[in-house]
Amino acid sequence: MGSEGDYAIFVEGLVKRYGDVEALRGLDLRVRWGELHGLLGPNGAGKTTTLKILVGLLRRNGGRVLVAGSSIDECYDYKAFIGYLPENPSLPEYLMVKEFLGYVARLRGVPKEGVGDRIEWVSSLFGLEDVLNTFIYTLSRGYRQRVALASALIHRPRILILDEPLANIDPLAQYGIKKVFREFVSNGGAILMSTHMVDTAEKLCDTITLIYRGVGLASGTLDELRLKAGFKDAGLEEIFIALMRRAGDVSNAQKG
Amino acid sequence: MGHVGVLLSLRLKEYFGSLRVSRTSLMVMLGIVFSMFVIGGGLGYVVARGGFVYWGLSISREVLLSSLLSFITIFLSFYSVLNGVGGSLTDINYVASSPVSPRDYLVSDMLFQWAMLNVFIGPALASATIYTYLVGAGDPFLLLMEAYMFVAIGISQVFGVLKQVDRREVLAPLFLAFLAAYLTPALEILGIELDYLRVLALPNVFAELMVGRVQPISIASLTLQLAVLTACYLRLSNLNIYYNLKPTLVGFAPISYMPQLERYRRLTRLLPLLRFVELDTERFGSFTLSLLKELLRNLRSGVLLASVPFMLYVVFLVPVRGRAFPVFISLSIAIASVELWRFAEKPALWSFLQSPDARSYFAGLIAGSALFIFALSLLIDLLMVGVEGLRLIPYIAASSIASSGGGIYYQLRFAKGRNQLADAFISMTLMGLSSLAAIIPLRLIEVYMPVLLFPVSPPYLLLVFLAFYSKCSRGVVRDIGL
Repeated sequence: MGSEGDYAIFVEGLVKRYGDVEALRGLDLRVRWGELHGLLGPNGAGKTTTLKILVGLLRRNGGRVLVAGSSIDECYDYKAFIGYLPENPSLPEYLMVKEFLGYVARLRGVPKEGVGDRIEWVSSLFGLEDVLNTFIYTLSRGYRQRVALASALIHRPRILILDEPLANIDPLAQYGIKKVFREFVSNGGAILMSTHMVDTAEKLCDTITLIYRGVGLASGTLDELRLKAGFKDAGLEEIFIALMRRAGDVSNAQKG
Repeated sequence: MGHVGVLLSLRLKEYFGSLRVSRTSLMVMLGIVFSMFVIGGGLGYVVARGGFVYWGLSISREVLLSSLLSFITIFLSFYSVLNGVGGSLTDINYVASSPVSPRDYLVSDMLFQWAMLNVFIGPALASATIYTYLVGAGDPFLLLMEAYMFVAIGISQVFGVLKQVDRREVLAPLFLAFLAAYLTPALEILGIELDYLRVLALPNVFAELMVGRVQPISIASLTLQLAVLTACYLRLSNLNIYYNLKPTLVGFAPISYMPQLERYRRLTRLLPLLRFVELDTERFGSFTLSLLKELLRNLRSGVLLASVPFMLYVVFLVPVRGRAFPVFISLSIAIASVELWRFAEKPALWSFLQSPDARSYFAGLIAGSALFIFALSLLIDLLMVGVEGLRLIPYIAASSIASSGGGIYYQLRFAKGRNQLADAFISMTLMGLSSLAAIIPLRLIEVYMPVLLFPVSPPYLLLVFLAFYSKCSRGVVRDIGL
């Protein structure tokens, strides 16, 4: 175990309330450098809320958060280190792909003269060469997702925070994107991605945090999760369901 | 200030981007610019004449100008107090997650808003200035008005940031004090002398400057207020405004529907009773169910609240009286109703179209919409005009049926949802024209055969209803292929 500053993302006791609803109830999360970490949970578990807090789009009600060793409170400089893919990446419809990527690059600190090279780079990574001069409103959902992913990577961030990154993407393109992710972490970067697709989490992620009703049920590699769940050869799906049931029982017992 | 230029350019391209690809958007934009140019001529005429008489009140050009400036400032500030700092979905997804300082964000937003105001108000100002210059009464009000727009936007941003960072204890008293000061032009319209109290509101001071009447106390007040505003702006623009940023920018682009709806749902929260009124889906047939659903939808989505700005415009800004009054009221409600239908139900049309009885849905929709607009318009008409208003029932009914039918037909048949502003503008224009077309025959009957108005109007209204029903159904059949 390293110190909290050694983690790419360090979250402790995270609390978020929307009025009377407690969306996050003391979530702990650790993402190491060089690690692809999956945040797996059912709809409404608090995945998107967690990611939005990390990116500075939502204010938390409690807990500690460090991103790349920096506190995120009243601060925006740390955002230079992160690339973010929102859950529903709406794009400016009447901009061309090239224009949009150029704007995002400039906003995230890429110097004017380097923008062209970066656009070329990300478009080759995500197969966007043929649509660079196309208006975004003409693109399919899969292409839009790829454009949004390219925008998250264009400034060469050290951390990627991705909300359902493989949604709407066809299997062939998914294969290429997974390769990009693996290369990113093998170069020392860190990825935190949310998903509710168990297969994706199991095959792609190095470590996983299982989140349910705003609380982390368990965290670690697949083997570590098996150990915590008390199964020897179980898949992630069985582990998750077993842990969820246990958490549900505890929660129901507390209510009763 | 490293990102201001990039952000401004992004926003302008995002907002006006459709003008690059859509001829409709371009035509709508030219229509707006042209109509504002014409309206500006009227302003220039009044300023050159030195004032005008409205409802028996003599209004000087100075008071007119200060009222106009006050109206712009209160409008912008009220919007900020309600919504905080806003932006487009692109701002939220890609700008707020970038290392862009809040000050850069706000300054670029200020420049963008200034550019936007100039699209709508600029042509009016230009034609007013040209007119006053041509008739030899040229005041330097164009430049001062342009300068004042920055002040108005700056004030609204101060309120927006206070709302955004949740400083309610400061925001509430400050906004009330601001309202008290900035409503002083309204007191002057009523002939109440304010003396030195006038200088508390910058619109009064700017209006003085515009008509070339400068007093030392006004200059002192102007300097002091601008200094305080700048200090507040510099202080507040350091705060983190990116938490809970809301998508408030609607333009020539597709938008998320939910924020618009959320604004109007506040009325439902005020009237909790509406939540307990439920549709008994087992009791009624498709048509009745759809009709009742439309009535309930109108109540729940807050049409009354949404139509208030249009009604205020009709009642206070346009001197509409007589027969036209209830017709304009029904048109206001119809515009709000159809716009909210566009936000709330149009995206969910697919579910109704799966039904083998889809036509009943549309028949109920058109009947329910017209019925709601008619009932509410009649109520307002009776409250404002009294029992005399009953004579106008055929007009209100014709306008209700035609305007709602016209709006729904346009939304079903032509509006694709890619250019929100264009969709709204064309739809409203079409609703106005439909209303007019339905009323003219009634008016002709009333003028030439007054005794026939009531016997003739019910079958006539039924025909109007059926015409719009068949149009709407055909629109859907053509588009969806039912």
